Amino acid sequence: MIEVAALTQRYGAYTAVRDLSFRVEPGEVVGFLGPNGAGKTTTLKVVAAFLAPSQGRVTVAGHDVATDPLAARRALGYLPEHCPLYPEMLVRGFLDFVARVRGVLGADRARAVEAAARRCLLDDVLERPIGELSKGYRQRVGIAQALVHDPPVVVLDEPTHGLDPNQVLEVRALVRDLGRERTVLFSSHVLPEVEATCRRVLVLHQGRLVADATLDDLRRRASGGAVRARFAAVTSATPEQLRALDGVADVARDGEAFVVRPRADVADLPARLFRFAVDRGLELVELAPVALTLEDVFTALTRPEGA
Amino acid sequence: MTAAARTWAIARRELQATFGQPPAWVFLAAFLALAAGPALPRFFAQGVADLREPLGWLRLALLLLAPAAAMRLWAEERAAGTFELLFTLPVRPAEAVLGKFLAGLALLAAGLLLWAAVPLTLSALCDLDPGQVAAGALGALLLGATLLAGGMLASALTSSQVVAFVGGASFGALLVLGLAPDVLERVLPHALVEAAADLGAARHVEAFDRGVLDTGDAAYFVGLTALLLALNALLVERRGGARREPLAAGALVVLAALLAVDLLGQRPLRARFDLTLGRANTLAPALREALAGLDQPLVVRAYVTRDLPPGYEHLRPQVRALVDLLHDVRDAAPSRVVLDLRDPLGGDDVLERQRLARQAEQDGVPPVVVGTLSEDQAGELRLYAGVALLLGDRAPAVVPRAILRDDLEWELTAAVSRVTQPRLRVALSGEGLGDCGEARAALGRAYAVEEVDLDAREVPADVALLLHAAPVPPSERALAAIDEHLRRGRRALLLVESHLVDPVAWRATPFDGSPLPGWLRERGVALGPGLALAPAERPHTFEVDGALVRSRYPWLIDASPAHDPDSPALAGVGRALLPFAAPLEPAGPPPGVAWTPLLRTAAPGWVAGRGGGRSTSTRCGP
Repeated sequence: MIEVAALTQRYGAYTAVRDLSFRVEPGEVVGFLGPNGAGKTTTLKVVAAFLAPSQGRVTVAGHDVATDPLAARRALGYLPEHCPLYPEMLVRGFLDFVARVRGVLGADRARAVEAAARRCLLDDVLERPIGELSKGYRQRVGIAQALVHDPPVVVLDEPTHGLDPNQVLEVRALVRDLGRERTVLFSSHVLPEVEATCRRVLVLHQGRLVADATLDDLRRRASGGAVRARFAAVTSATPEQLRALDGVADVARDGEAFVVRPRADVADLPARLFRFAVDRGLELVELAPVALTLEDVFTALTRPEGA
Repeated sequence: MTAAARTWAIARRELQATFGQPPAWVFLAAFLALAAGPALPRFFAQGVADLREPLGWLRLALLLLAPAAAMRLWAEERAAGTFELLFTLPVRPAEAVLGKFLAGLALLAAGLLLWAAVPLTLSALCDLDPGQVAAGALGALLLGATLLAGGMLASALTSSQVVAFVGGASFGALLVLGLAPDVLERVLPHALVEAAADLGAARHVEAFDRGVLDTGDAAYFVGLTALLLALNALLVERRGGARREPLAAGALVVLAALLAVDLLGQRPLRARFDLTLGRANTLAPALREALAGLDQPLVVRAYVTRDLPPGYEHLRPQVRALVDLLHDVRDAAPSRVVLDLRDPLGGDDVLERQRLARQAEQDGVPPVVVGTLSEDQAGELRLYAGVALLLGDRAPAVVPRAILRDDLEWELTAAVSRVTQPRLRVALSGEGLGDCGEARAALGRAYAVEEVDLDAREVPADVALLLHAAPVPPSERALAAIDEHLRRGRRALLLVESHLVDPVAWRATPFDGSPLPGWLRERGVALGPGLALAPAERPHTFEVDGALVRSRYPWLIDASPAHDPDSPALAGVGRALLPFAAPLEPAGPPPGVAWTPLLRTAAPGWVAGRGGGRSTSTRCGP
């Protein structure tokens, strides 16, 4: 549904995106991950047919954004970064305006507005000015305007940015929900966001695509399959015993827990650790894959292979 | 979804955003205060029902308020980031530009509608020409549209509304005030002034103000607005929109628009519609014909004082009417009329002013005294308002005072005729016009006048009309000369006396031995005895030898045109006072002689001492 081929995007002398290529298939929910300034927003602006590509070719639902931007825009709903809205408008008036411009006609328009509002839990605030709404409501208005014409593709730029934890949960649920019937591409700079909503992730770093993988893949590559294990009582010999365990490459101490990295050919490290605990009569308190931060991912992805 | 529907959706949102907010109402109130408030005292001060003063204030108000209406249209979107939202909707830049423009125009139109209260109020107090009001409002709307488009362009260049306002207002000030002829005259070489002034708006609102719709002016505003909007669309596209619409297509549209503007401003496509009910801006057919018949360039050299001193602003409509008329004359035959407007009292160059004043004197256009300067200041206020018409090497025709008169167009027509047509020779004889300098001057403006002494020589062969006026009957010799003149098929007009009158004694004694009665009888006219009398509505009082005489039966006969009031001999004459007229009556005119009375005494007239109705008439030649 979204196809980006060899996209390079420049602002004057500054190159924001270099030679970026990826595809998003129908029905996929794809997370677009990267730190601030990685080129996520620029790429999404091109996909949303707001910026013309400096080089390369981008199509949305088969429409080239450079030669037929109007058709591309019709096929997608887009939430810009920071969710810009007209503060003086009422929520209903705003959604009605977007629907009008998007060509939803007659009685369909009122129905479309109602449906989008219900979907984004906006029924209570339909008659209130957007400027008076809380950040969470505003974000949902932004998402509702991207859905009002029932597009096959939805592009959301940082949909949870600046929300409190409860609102974040609501929006994540909404994005998951959207993924059931549409193609969704959304960006984030926090990893848990992506973990909670999608399987496939595109990682952008300094304008280049550094990873296009499933989350499991990514986790493995970033952590090397490391597992965090904590035992109820350990002896001074325990680290040595762990190191001696077959398939273990490295053991590090993290407070009371151990971070155990497997050899590259070992895929069942948690099972081996469990057996290890049983054999030694150790009480296993915690056994979990190492929680990854974005920094870990980047360190791993930008680390030269094999180092 | 059509482009029109999207444009309307954008316009609708802008309208809601505008009229849903207090600033719109503040805007309208300010507009009305600015456009209407100061205009009214000045309107009344000028003493003429001319809407131009209020229209001038309306324009000034537009100059401030059009950029105010435009400033938020793009800058707000850019500041709030909604620009991106807008252009990820399926909207073409041109549609967004047009939608916003229409919304802004609606606000200006609402302002104009409120302003209409001004002419409505005034029309209750004086006679305004609805055509002038409509044309003036249309001109204001077109100017407003252009200023709005300029303001929008400024708004698209910045995300700050303040910068957008300043930019838009500067554009408007340059267009309306900066590119005005009187300003350009001071900064540009003379040769460039005309061309530069054509670019400015001031020149193109003049006709609207007068109640004239000129397609050239309308095309100027529409074309300039379209150009600004097209630039706006290109700019918006570059700033955000996805694909650049092919530049070539944009350039073609702009070129086509400019071409259309140029064509509409030129003959034969250029048309001029006088919207005033009184056809106040349409030249009389006689003047148009006279101009159309020109076979060489006619220089219309006008000496006009434009800057009226304080206290004489009431003359401004008069001066404007003069200048407008001269422009109309030029526009009626642009290839044959050269308009040369000079102001011997204007300008900073003293030597130049003196040179112009001398030239005006030479051209026969002296300054007109219109009043004293002020109570405590001695001296008269003089200003120039005269026209000299120059055609080749012919003697110029002059209208020395072309203001404070209501027959200006007639006078100018006569002047054009004088200078264009070969002048008929008129011979004066006798002493009858000896003291009447004014009558002689009037004759001199229309004819080549010369004097002949009928007792000494014959009338020259190419004299068209002989005017013999004397307080005594003509001599035998003079009558022979007149006969000779008439035999050539020419005309003669005799103003002579048959009686010696003593008004105090009410006695009229026929001159002894006068050959006149016999001469007249030969031509079928009998000269009766006594004097003709007619009743007057009021007693006439007149002075005879220092004594005042009062009579209900005037010696001065109040006569009205007897025959065809449109006859060229009496055109424009409503009534005439004939002093001491002798009764004339037909007496078997010889074959081939027609008798046409021109003036007749008011009925019932009679002859003193006889009673009964009689007419007093002058006789046309055979």
